[in-house]
Amino acid sequence: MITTEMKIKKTKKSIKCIIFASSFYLAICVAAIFDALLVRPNEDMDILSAPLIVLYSLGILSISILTFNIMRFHNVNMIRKKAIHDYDERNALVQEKTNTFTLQFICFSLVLGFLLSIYLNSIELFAFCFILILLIIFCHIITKIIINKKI
Amino acid sequence: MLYYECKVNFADIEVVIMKNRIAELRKAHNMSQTDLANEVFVSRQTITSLEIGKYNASLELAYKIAKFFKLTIEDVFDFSELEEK
Repeated sequence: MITTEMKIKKTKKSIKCIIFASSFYLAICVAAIFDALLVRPNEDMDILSAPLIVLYSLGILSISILTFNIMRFHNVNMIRKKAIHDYDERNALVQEKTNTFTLQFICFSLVLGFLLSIYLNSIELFAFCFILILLIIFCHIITKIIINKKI
Repeated sequence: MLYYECKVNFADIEVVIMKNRIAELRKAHNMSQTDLANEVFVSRQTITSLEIGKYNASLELAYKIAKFFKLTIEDVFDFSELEEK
């Protein structure tokens, strides 16, 4: 059984992970913008070109996630709120059922794509669906073995 | 074929939702769902689902709720329907 203190400790760690990940994404965005505008300036690319707008939005998103999580990291109530949300048993059940349904839906779509590839005589679609179905089955078996050993 | 049928039966297992006295005890203690949820470290939605009988609490949560009200698990949760089965 995991205690409340441990839950809060683990939540703090996960918030730290989010902070590191979002700062990494922010650094990549800044480097890419810097590279496109200053290091290797291209005639086709100005400040308001489409790829740069995508980079600006990704940068803004990273900054907002970073700011929110730094703020959350320093607020005990917000950490507790996140811990409750993350370790709530009903939420875990909802998540588990959602994942199962999503997996079923993806498998069903892939099988449909597989059949469609035969009808359309498309070797690329056939290979894509076939490899993905095999990967899903492989991943499912491996995960089942690991979880079976854990529980 | 037998294996297939077994699998279908497993999916159709009837879940007995236990009745409980959480709402009654909570009101007696003059508490809101949020207060109780904070005390037992779950979300408010979980307490709502328990009270309206949409969800069965785990053993851990049942213990926490019973301990909070200073009662036994049997005093909070009604196992009579399970015993009938």
